[in-house]
Amino acid sequence: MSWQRKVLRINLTDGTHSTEPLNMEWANDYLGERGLASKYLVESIDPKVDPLSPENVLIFATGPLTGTMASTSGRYAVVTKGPLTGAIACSNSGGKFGAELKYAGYDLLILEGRSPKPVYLHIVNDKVEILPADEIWGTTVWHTEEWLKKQHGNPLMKVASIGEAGENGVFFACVVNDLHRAAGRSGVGAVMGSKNLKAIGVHGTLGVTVDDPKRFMEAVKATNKLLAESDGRKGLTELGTNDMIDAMETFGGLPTRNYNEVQFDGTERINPAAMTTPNEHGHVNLITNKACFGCTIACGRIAHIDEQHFTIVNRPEYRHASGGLEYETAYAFGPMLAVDDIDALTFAGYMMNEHGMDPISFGVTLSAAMELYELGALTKEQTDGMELNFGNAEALTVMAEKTGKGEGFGKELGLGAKRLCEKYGHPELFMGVKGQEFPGYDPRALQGMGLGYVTSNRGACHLKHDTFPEDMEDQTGNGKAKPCKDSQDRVAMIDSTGLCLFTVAAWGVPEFQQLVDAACEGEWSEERLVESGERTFNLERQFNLAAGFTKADDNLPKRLLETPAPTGTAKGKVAEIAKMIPEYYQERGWTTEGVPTNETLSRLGL
Amino acid sequence: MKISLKTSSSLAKYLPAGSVGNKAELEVEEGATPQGVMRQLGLPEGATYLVVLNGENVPKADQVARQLADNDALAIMPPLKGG
Repeated sequence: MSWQRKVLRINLTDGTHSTEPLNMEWANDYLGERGLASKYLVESIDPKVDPLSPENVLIFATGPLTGTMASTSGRYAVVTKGPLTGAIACSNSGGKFGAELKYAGYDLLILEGRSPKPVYLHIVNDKVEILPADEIWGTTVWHTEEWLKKQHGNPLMKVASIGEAGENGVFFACVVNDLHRAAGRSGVGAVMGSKNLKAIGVHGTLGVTVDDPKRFMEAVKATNKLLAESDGRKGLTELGTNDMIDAMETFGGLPTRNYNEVQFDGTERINPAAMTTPNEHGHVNLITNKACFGCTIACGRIAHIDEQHFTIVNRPEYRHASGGLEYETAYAFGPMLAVDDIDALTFAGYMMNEHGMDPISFGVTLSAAMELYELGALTKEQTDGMELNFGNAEALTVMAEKTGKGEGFGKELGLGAKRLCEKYGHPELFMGVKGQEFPGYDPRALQGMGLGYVTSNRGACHLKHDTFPEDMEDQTGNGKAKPCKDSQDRVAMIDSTGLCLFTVAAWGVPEFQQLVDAACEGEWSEERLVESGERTFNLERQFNLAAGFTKADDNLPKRLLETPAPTGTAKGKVAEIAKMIPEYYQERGWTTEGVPTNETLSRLGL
Repeated sequence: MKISLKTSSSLAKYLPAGSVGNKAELEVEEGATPQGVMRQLGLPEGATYLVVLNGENVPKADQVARQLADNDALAIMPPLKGG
């Protein structure tokens, strides 16, 4: 077992729902979560479909290990065609929602069509209701979650919802669950909004079963021990992901001022030490850390804002603990905007969670807007009277809220950086790939990261490959193709298990194999697992090619290809994409145009 | 000889008493190497570290042999990873 062997399908157009057996042939090929949902999506929609039309399908997918005793088993994925990119989108989240969906008895929840009126789903095991959302449409994620629990008198319910950003079609709107965990990237929240679906409240009591409980618990014990003893895990627990900011700044890979610079002199005011050091009022930003369902890492941060800070001095409703800074948020709101006010960054982070937006895309979009403003391509009249210069902390907090609420210049920021830069005449200022904004690692300093960005199937992403060890050892494009390809396949497999990628702090393929093989029926060797990841990666690539992407889309902005890094360990270097891409295609078994060969497709059963 | 040393927030606890934040001035022996400094600080052995010396990346293999000079600026950080 381990799969629930059941899919819940909702047709929002006619307000009906049904269940069907999980396609076990596909589960055996794609495992679950990212891979399995991608297979269902590919079989369900025309790749050229408008992502915000009723013809797109939105899939919430658990993995076979979701909800089990394995560490970090709270993961689920939201898979659809992404409006930000036009590519296949797989956005993955933690919290408790994924395990609850599994406990309600479902591996996958497939949402089709578009409801004529705003609705939400209420699921308690096999009882499924599609209910009017008039009272919560137009309200925040935080209000929605509280309202659903009160409405149904069920504080144990787990909620995934969209804020106003998703309703308004912000191209980087998230689906937020459990108040501050999010399926964050590629605009999956806008797809949910386009379907007039505000929220999913779920409560499950069915549990999960595994194939070989004794062997599974032995594997759980062994893998938990590895995590407990790992220095990488300890770093994540004690300091969270933002511990990376000091290293990235020192390395000269910390993108600053829309990738014009690679080091930020305000890093020490927004790093983990700053989060735990009292300010001039004695206020300490960080309160504690937080774990998702079943997680023994607990990388999440819970913070609060100084009551005397300009953002909340007259807004008591924000004087509470909430999600704190993680590395990507710190990067996108800090160096990218040249803002070093930790409470301003924290408040903008609250806005992302409350209104349902991706902080990476928002920060990079605002960074592009600041560059446009400083170039004179945007004027103060167009930005609601706000000086949009780099370094303006108030611009960050005000624009975060305006974008969330769809007000004034916030509507323009909701377009995302690519569309914004094109609209204001400077497409070259968009820092991203395939329409999706960059995370916080400069490809001139980390060449393998650049290759991962351009070949990620959901657009620029740092979480779909892992070439950090190679990038630390050698800052050229040499030898990056194979580790990039191999890690992409490995990550696609991990993303399909229902476990968190951060377990790689201590685990490799053998640990995942032990867990999956004990939990799932059938023989799951390491080779079979990695091949399932490779199959998923190629399936996603095939979807994108059919959607209209070509080799030309596997590239970085000119700034990174032609303007050398100004400082840092990679001073004088540019990203060597042209060198790496042919080697990468060859490693993949693709043609020189980036198309999987018939031999590759046949080998993978595609 | 003296070097200036910078670490991450997570490694600051290994700096000598009296250090401010994640920076320190450190007295090291002539011929000291980055790996020798890691030992001197008591950093966990066997782990991988990012080492930057005077703005230049020092790959792992060179961390054993590269000799430090007076007034060098050394940074020892946790390995790069995703977040």
